[in-house]
Amino acid sequence: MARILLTLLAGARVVRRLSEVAATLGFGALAGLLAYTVWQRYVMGTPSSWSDEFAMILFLWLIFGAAALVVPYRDQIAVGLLVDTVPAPWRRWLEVLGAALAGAILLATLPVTMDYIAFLWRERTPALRWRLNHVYLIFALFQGLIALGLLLRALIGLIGRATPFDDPAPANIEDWIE
Amino acid sequence: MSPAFATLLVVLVTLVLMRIPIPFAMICAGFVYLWVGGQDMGLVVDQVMNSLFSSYVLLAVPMFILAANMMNAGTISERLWRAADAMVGRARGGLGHVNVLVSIVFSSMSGSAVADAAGPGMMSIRMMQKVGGYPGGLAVAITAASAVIAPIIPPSIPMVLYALNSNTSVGALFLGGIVPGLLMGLALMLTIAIIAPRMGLPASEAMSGAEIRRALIAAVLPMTLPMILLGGIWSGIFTPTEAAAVGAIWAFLLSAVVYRALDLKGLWQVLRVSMQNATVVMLLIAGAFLINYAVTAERLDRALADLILSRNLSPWMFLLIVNLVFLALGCLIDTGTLILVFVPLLMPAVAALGIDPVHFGVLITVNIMIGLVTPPFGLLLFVLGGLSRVGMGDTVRYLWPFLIALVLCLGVITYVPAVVLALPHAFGF
Repeated sequence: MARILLTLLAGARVVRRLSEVAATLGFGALAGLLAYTVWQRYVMGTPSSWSDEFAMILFLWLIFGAAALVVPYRDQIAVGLLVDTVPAPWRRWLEVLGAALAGAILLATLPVTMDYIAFLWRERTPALRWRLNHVYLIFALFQGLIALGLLLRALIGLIGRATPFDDPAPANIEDWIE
Repeated sequence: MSPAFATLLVVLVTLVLMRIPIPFAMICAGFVYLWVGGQDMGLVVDQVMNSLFSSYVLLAVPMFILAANMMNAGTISERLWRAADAMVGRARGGLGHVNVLVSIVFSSMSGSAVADAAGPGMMSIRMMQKVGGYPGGLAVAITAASAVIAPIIPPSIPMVLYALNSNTSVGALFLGGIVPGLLMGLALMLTIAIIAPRMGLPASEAMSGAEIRRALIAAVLPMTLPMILLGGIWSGIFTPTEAAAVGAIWAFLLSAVVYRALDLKGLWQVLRVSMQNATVVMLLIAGAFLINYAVTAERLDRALADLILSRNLSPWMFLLIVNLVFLALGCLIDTGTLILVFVPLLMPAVAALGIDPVHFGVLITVNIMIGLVTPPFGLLLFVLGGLSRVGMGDTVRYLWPFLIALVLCLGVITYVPAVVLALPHAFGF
């Protein structure tokens, strides 16, 4: 069981690292795309019809992709007003309960989200004419991954372990298992 | 208030108190609101994705973040510091004045208080402690107070968010922030001038004429950045998004090509950190779209406006109440949430009372920024205290005079609208 868990966690680390590389490259490409738009409009005098829209789509995928796979949970904006003032055992239970509740809501509503996105197959983006269901698919991926992450966090909190990938992260995955 | 909206509030507050990240809590609350209200829960996708997809101006936010991080990595802060030292360092409490002046100049290139605090702010703290022998708490207090100016003097990320919600011109808001930002800088420098003799704060070491010239010349190229950014927007050449992108590319060229202070590894770090910062901010905006949808659907903003009008509140009294409430909220709730969720609630009342939305936008930004340095929860105090390893108690002991100076400025900005509106009017907004 421990071996399977170790393999899963190692795999998750690889996915996270690859996602980080992709998102960083994407962010650089976003800056480049916007600069290209300005160049085309003001220097070449031939405004690009596609680059603004492509930048916006890239931006959407970056936000939701990076939020789900790259940005550490502890780096998200949260308020510790209550949790930070209660004793440690209470803190753990509050966080477990919160993660379970939020994860359950997001998981339960995922089919509705997927259904709505699938329904958009008829619509297309104005310039690139890409199908809107493809463009908006990232929201469903985000919702699903965040839901799973929150439920996993609740489960791990329930058995009283530190969550991997939190800051400060355990030096080795084995430390977490031990 | 409908049962659906009451449920939204319960879910939102419960999850936030359980330390669930605010954007996730907003999305969950949005789903529950639609479910209890018997509406199609697919509207969550519609509101979040369509709103983001159609808000091109939002692309300015990640580019402002990128430009600020690029400058922090590219020795631009150091060049600005030396130039400011040459200009005001010889006064009593010189390094304190230098700190404020660097913040004012950096503000014209960056739109984020945290970027200012973490970049030139941290450098200022090191210099004040090592060279000037300032107590750590005082160094952090001056740095935190001066970092507040960053989102007031344009460019400004909070003002872009406000513009998005209030249909106000970004250019007008940016112009409106200049005089208030300078006023705040002046107030902080006056405070330093008053406390310097009492605390025995030294002046900087004297520079020769040649050294002064060299320091000022070294800052000339970085000073082209605000000209491109703001000149481009106000002259109508660039949209705010385009200006932000050009600013980021220009900061990259200065750091990597001209100063050779940014290698490939450094560039990667800057892109990675900027991507993560931008994601955190943008996700908050995505969640706020849902809450705003619920507020609008419930007509709560209209109800609040009607309530205020029925009580015959004067604009003067309304602004006083808003200032007091937001000063308190600013200590507890993050800037983005306040601007994206709480401010839209007030916009119909602002219009009904005949308050200029540009004036309101600038004063609310100043107000919320002061919240960032108000103990015990001010974000900047935590950021700087953590980075410089100075205890909160030490900082707070020295902070009060600066906080009072900033609040007095807020009073002037609130009740003398010309301080904000003179420049936008002069430029035809």
